[in-house]
Amino acid sequence: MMRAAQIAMRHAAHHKGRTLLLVLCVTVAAFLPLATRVLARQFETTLRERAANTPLVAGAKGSRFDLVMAALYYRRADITPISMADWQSLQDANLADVIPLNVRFTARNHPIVCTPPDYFALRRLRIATGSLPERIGDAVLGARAARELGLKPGDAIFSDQRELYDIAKAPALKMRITGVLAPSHGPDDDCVFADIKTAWLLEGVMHGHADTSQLPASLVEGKADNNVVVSEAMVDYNEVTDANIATYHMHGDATTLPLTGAILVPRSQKDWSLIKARFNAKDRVQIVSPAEVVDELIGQVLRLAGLMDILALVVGAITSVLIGLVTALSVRVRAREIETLVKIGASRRTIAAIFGLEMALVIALGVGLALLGAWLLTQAPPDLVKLL
Amino acid sequence: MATEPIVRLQGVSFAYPHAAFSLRVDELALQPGEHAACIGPSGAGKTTLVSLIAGLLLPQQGEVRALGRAMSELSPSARRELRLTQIGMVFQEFELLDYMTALENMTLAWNLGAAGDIEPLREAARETARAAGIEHLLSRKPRQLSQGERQRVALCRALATRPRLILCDEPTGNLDPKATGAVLDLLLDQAAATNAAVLMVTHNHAILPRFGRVIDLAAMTPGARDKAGAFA
Repeated sequence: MMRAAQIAMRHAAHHKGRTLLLVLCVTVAAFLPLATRVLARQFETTLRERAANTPLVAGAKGSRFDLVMAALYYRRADITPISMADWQSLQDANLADVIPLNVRFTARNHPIVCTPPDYFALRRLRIATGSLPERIGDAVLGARAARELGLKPGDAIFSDQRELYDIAKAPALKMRITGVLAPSHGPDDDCVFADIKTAWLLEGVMHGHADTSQLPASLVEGKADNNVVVSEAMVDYNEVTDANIATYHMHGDATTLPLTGAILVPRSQKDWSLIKARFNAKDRVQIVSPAEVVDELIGQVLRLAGLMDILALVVGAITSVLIGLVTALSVRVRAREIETLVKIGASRRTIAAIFGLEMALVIALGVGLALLGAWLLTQAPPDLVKLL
Repeated sequence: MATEPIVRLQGVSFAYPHAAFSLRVDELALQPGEHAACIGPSGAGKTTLVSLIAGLLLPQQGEVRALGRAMSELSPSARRELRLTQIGMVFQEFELLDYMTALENMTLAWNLGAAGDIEPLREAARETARAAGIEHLLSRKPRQLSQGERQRVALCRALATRPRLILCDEPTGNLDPKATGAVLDLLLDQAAATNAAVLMVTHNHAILPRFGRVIDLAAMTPGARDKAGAFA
């Protein structure tokens, strides 16, 4: 067998292009299902890990998938916001620590996560350079966001303007960067973090502007008692500074301020059940367990992985046909060589072994490369896996 | 005591299925160390004769004995073993494997199942290559060789196993006179050194004087004897 293998290897090595093409075909056919499995497994692990670290999520009634994806991964979904009043009633239940989240805005396409410092403790996020937000309008960047945007503490970042042509809306907010987080290899790395009150600035319900008593007459439309009605031509401050921070104030009812949702950390298993039961029975708010929602989601993903397996089977079948065709063609092209080998004294078995071993070599190399690729995928940094 | 011929055909008749061609040889013998050329017009059956002697074809009638054994009585594997170890074959188109080096081509019999270790065969191949003046080309592949060099490699492949019978099917057909002379020198000298019998099919009448005997296949009509004897 080794003697025939030597001929097979020489032939394969001599026709490098053909051999490489066949090896590549086998690699792709074998790698596809392996990679799908590996990625699905890693996707599952990552999802479950983050879900497990997030006991409960509260949000407006609607799609529980959208709510969990928005609260865990800051996916921008058009989910109905809850209000600070809802947050207050969750707090008042005294069954869980309630961390409010507002992720309705972006800065240079990175989600702005407005949340109190409790969030950093929950996610075990730590500052790599600089410090946590010190006042409203300050921002802390996730590691990847800082790298991609090339920003560091001391720089500034503008929020993305959602309504470019509506001057009544809040202007883009220039946020001072106070720190950069250490990499956590999760979705937090892509975010811009700010205090929850910064969300009110972004929403336009809190603003700062020049003292109305000193405004030029052209910007004042009327005065009644202590109220001054100013013209829309007056521009609000778009950056919080030491000089203007005192002018920031809120209009309207604080209880109506919008939140994307809230993360709930129940104090006990009993509280976990109680708070879910109590609020899910009401009309406005739903409380879901991300672990349960993720279980459902993974079921869908695994079904998709099953489809990918079928696709891989089709690719595998096509590759097998291709290899069969190449072998058949090779036998025809090498008919004269086979004749010579027979004349010299080769048996049919030896000739079959030469062709068979060459194909076996191609298949072994292809499968070997696919296994190596799958193993490398398991060793790849989480960022790369996320990219894939 | 008379030596047994290395090749003996008696009352041999062969025809390809669905073809008008047929070959009949009443009597033909080749002695050890004898160098014979086989001539005849195209279609006379020269290549068929070589194939019958090599055991690649079996006659429908009569007996072909080579190296003291009746080919029809041997199993296919025994005939293959005979070709691998005791019969050297050279072809007009050289038939070298283009993906193997000259040395690997010369030791191909080992790859195809010839008994024993490769090292003695490799040493014999080097020795033959030295005699052929191509020792420096052993690591080259056929594409890197001239026509004459390729044929010398093919000849060395046939000679490396130290065969007792060398069958050549127009090995000089593609060579110029100078290269033809060199190949013949090598073939006949090496064969003489090992007392191997040579049967060479050829169209080239200019080389016939180099052979001790000429077999004219056209003259071997049914019932006729081969024209044995020195070429005059």
